[in-house]
Amino acid sequence: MRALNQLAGIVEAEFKALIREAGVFIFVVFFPFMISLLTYGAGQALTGGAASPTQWFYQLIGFTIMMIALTMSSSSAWYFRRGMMTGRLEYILAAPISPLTAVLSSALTNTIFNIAYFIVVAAIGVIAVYGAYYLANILGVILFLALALLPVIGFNLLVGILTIFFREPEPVANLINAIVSTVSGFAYPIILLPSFLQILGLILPYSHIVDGVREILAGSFRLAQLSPHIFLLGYLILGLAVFKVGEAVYVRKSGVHW
Amino acid sequence: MSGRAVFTGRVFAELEKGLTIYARYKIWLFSDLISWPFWTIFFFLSFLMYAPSLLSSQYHLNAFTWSFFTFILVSSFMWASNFLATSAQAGILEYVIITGCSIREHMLGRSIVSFIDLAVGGPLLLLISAAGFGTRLFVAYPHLMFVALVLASAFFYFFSSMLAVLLVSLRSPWIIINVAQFIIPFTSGAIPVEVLPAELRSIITYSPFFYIIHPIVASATGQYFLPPGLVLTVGGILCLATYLASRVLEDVLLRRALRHGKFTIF
Repeated sequence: MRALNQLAGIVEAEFKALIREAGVFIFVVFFPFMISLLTYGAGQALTGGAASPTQWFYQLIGFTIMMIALTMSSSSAWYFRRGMMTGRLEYILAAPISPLTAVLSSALTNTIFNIAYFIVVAAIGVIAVYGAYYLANILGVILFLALALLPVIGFNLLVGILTIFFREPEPVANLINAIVSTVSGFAYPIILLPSFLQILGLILPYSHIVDGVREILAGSFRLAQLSPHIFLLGYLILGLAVFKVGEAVYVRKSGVHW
Repeated sequence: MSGRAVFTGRVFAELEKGLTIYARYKIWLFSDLISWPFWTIFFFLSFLMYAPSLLSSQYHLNAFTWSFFTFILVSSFMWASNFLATSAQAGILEYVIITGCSIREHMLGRSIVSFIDLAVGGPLLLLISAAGFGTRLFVAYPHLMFVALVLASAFFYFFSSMLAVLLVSLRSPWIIINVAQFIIPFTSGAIPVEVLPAELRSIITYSPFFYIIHPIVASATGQYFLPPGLVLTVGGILCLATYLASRVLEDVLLRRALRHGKFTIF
């Protein structure tokens, strides 16, 4: 109960901090539309007007999930770096709260924010391409994302630990974002990639997430497609394990704990 | 010491500062070198998803490679616009003015990083395109390509100075820069004009950026939409106009800063 209260308190504080960044929110909502319309325009030009709205929708959904992936990994990298710069990590370690509760509260806020963000963008896209009748499928996506983003939380704990190691959030996030964006099939089928990049895409969680979201929105999702996500929970376990090791090392070096 | 010697000294000091800052963040160099190939593949395929058959056309692969080269050029310089706002937020700009250094000279320290980004990222892109997609790269008019690159570098240096002054008081100028870095090149000639529908071709000539960006792609493909002399002359005039506009804006910013004590032209 105590841990839940702590979690709720931090989530509330994180939400207040997010609301202060209205410009960022507008940007992340705007970005998938901008970039997908840009590529759609280029696609129209390249195909002599044969590019279809469903192709645009395919990329819109992909770019939205990509923004979620990028903001989650960047937030995670910055969370740890800012924590080191401001001394917040030491306060968290010294406070009567599990450091994992504090970190997961931040990740939970991000997840809720990103699901809300997805609803806004996907609703516009669905109405524009398929009509309001298909809006109900978004409810399925909300449930799916709540489960499918769990491995991402674990993955981003690894990103956070990497940031502590390299001490620079932007290059770490930039590198991971570039690899994730390229191999995860956000904007094109991964079949277009060289085979070793296809394998990398299948190992990472995002291609399964974006495929699942597209299938649910199209109404053709089957429960059997959830099976890779069970294996992907390994990322959550790995992330938590690495975090505990990282925490122990950090505590030993900085000498603070409650 | 003569005015010219003072100016040269300041310029070299700024260049040294830029190089020092760049070399200080080695992890950035490492990250850039690995991430560039991935971003290149990503943008390449994002556009070509609509027409994957073009992946087998050497002409189009070459044209699109140079399209993304212009994107790297524009992006490298556009991000320099963020620098002035960061300097103002960190309280550095006041010290810069006390030293008698102009804002444009101060920007030079950041712009050298843009040049290095272009010098590293540009050839890397060409290499990736050749190795990853099997593109046989060619430049139809090497002499025009040289002029186009010099013109574009000068133009975007002045343009980023202008933009930096306009965005100096914003808390998050990166949002505008992030949007502009995509919209400017891809609506102004980075996509080869000959692949666009006829009605679009004439519309994009109304964008001033067309006369800066189109010559790079056209010099590679050999397909100038307008006579090269005309395009490059208009580009040169625009470059001069941007230089003058950046000076005027800088003067306005300085006057307002001295009068009101804060950096904003609004």
